[in-house]
Amino acid sequence: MSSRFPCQNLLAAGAALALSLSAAGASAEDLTILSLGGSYQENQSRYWFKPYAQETGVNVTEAAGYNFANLRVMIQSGNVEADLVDLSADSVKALSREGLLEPIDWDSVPESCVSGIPEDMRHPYAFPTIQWAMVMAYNTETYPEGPKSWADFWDVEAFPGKRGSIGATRPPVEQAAMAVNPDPQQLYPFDIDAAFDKIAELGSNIVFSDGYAQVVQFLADGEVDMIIIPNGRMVPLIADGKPVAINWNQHLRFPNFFVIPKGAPHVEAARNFLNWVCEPERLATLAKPTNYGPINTDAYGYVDEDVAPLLPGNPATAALGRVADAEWLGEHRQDIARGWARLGVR
Amino acid sequence: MADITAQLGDTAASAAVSSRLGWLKGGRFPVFLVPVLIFYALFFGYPLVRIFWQSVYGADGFTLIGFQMFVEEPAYWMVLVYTGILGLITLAITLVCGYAVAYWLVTMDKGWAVLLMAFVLIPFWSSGLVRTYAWLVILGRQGILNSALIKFGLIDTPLAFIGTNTAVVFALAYYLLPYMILSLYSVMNGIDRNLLLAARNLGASPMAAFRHVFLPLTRPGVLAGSYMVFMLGIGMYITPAMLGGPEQTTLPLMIAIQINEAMDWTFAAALSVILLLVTGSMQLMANRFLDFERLWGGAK
Repeated sequence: MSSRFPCQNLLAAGAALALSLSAAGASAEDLTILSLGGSYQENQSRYWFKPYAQETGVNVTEAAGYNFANLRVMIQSGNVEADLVDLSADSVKALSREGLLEPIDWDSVPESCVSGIPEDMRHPYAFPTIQWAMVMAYNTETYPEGPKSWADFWDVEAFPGKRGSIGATRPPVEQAAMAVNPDPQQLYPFDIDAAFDKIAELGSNIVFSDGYAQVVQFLADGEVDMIIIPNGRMVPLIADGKPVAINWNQHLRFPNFFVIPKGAPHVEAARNFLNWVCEPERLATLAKPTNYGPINTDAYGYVDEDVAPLLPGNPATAALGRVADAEWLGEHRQDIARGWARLGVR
Repeated sequence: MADITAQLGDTAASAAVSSRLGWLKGGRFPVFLVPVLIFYALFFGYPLVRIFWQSVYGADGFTLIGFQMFVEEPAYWMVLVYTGILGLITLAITLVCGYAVAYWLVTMDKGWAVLLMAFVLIPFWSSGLVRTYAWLVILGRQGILNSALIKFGLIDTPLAFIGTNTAVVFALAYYLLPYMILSLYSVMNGIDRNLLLAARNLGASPMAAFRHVFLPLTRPGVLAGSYMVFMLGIGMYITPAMLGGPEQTTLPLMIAIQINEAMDWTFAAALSVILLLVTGSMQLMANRFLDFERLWGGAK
C-alpha cells in the first residue's frame, strides 16, 4: 500500500540521501509528515521540517496532497503511513468524533508554547498552528474607494463589475448571509436556503470557478473586479505590485492544526516535533512567506511590523471578523451541496 | 488509430464473452481468456460491486437513504436531466461535424489523409485538462475571442462565455469529436467505393447514391460513435467543472461534491448507481435494435 502517496518513496529516498550526507551519526528516528502541498508546504518544509531534521537528526519524510476521504480510509483501515497530518478545523472535528486521532499531550507541551494559545484553541486531539482567512479582495483601479462590506459586494449598482468566487466546492454562503445580517458575531446559525437566494440575486454578475488559483487569476487578468478568497492566495499579487487590496471587514478565520492519526507508527517522534515547532518564534517564521497568521498570539512578537497587518488574527483586524464555526458548517455540508444543486435549476 | 481499434477490440472481446457462453453447455473452456477475466473481475467487477454495496449499506446498516435523498429533491432530477441533455446536444454536434470530416478524410488522397488524421489524433492524445484550460484562454472575458470581437468593432463590452452552456457544449464537443471521427472513419474506410460507382452506373444521382448506398452502410459507425460520445459526454467531469457555472452542474460533479465536500459516500454511491442504471438501460435499449458484434466489427 505504499503507493498511496506516490511521491513518498522518492521524497524518502531524497531525504535519506540528504541526511546521510549532512547529519552523519544521527539517530535513526523516523517521522512522516503529511501536509497540504503547494507553496504552503514548501514554506513549512523550509522553515520547520528541514531545520528540525537538521537540528535533531530525525529522519523527516514529507508527503503531500491528500483529501479528507482517503485520509479517513487510511486511518480506518489501520494502514497509517503518516505520523503527523496538517488538518483543517472541520476535519479535526470529524476525525476526533470518530476516535481516529491520538490525543495531544498538553501537559508535556512547554509552557512557553501554551501561554499564547487562546483557550478555545487548545483542542484535546489537535495542535493549532496557523490560521487563514476568507476575505474580500478587489481591484483598486476599478474601485478606488473600495467596497467595505459583503453588502457592498452584493451591491451591483454602487459597485458595477464582475465578482468571482469558488463554486461547487465552497459556495459563498456565509458571505451571502453577512450581506444580509452584517454582524459576523451573529452569523451562526444562518438560513442556508436564504443565503443561496442571496447568491442567486447576483445572477451573471458573479463568476464561479473550480479552484482558488483560477479565482485569483481572474482578478489578476481583470476578468473580475472583486473576489472572495483565502488571504494567502493574494500574496503573489500583492508582491507583484498589482492594483489589488484586501478588505478585512467581516472576514472568517479558519485555523489549521497538526494532528497525530490513530495508529501512527511514530507517535513519540510526532510529539517531539510538536514540542519543538510550537515555540512562538518558530511559528512566526511562516508568517512572512505565506501570510497565514500564527494562532499563538505570542508569535506576533517575532513578526515584522509591515507583515503583521496582512495576517489573519492580528490584533488590529481580528475583531473585524471571527473564527468560522467549523462544527456548524460540518453538520450542514449536505444542505450546502443541495443548495448548490438547487441554485442551478432556479 | 491503433489506440482506438485496440479499445474497440477489447469491447468486442467482452461482448463475445457474454454472447458465446456455449462452453457452458459442453464446449471447450476458453483458457486464454482467464487472465483477462481475472483482471476484469479484480479491477472492474469488484469496485463496481463495492459501489452498489456502498449505495445501500451505510454506517447504520442497510439503508435506502441515498436513493431517497435523490427522489425527494427535484433539483437532483434536474441535474440528471441536464446531464442527459448535455450529452445529447454534444452528440448531435459531434455527429454532424464528425461525419463531414470523416467523409472528407476517406475521399481524399491517402497521403493527405494521413497528415490530416494526425490533426485529429494529436488533440486526442493530449490531456483533457490542458485542452479545457485552452478554452478558458479562448473564451475568457479578456480572452482571445472577446479581444478579437472588440478589436473588429463587433461588440463594445466583452461577452460572458465562461459559466454558460455554450462554453460547456463547445468544449465538450471539441473534446469528444475525435472519438466520433475515428469510429466513423474506420467504418467508412471499409466501404467498397465500387458500390457507389455501381449505383451511379445504374442511374442514381450523386446525392441518391450517397443517401441510399453510402449512408446506410455507415450506420454501424454512426451508432458506435454516438454511443461512445454520449457515454463519455455524460460522465465528463473536467469540462463542466471548469467552464460551467451552477447551471452546468452535472451528475458527475454532484458525485464529486458528495465525496469531497459533503462527505456523504452513501449518497455519492447512490448517485453513481443511478448514473450507471441510466447508462446501463440505454445500453440495453441499444442492444435491442443493434447487433453489437456487427457494430464493433464494422461493415463487412
